[in-house]
Amino acid sequence: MVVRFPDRLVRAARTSAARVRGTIRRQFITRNRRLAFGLALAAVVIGVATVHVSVAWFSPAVMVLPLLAGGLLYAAVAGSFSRYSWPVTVAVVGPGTLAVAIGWQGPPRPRPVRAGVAARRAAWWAVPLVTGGLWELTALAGQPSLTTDSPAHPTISTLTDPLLASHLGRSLFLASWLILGGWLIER
Amino acid sequence: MSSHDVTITGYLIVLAMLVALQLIATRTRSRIPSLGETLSRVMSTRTGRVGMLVAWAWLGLHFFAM
Repeated sequence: MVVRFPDRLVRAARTSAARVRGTIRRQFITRNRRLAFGLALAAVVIGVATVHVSVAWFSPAVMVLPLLAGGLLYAAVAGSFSRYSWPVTVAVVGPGTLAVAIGWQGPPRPRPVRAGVAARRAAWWAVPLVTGGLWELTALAGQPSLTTDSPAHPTISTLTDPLLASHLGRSLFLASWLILGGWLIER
Repeated sequence: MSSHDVTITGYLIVLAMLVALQLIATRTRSRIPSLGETLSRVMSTRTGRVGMLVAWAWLGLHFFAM
């Protein structure tokens, strides 16, 4: 039997669609994964609403409470996922991408830079930051390999591992990370 | 003093330097800008702004993402 070209095309498209559907269904197989996806989606919606809608619909004072509650909920739920897992990756990539996209559009409101903050004087901050970076690199170089921790030369990641081993520690870290991101967006 | 202690001391010194700079910038009539003012300056250009936010996003990815 000869199969006509359009039929073959339709059949191939159906097979591909079924394969994609199966892949997506497998990704959402656990409750945690569905929750992570919902959380990332909520972060995107809240972020967009904060930038584009909040000023028109609500006063900033009113917007603070849901944002605070949303941030705490995010930290509590995202912190419940184990590190380096699919759900927490989504929970971090979502706000990260959103923040960079918002940053690309420029500051949310005009913010005059204090006159006289010359690059030369701001460079004072480069001293501890560069020193810290070099110190971290020295500790990294002291490890047996890039992926093996060294108790003798701990990097910041190694030092924070015990903190990030617990749900509370992860939630606190994620809440601080979110606050830092919000503060940077407001700059 | 072990290598571990020396490494930790190094981090603490850097942290102390950061805190001291911020205190000097905000509590005195110093010409050193505060960290917030410095970041506002860095983030006044699109490159600086996106760069800072990418660095922040990387921090989350580094500690949590696969």
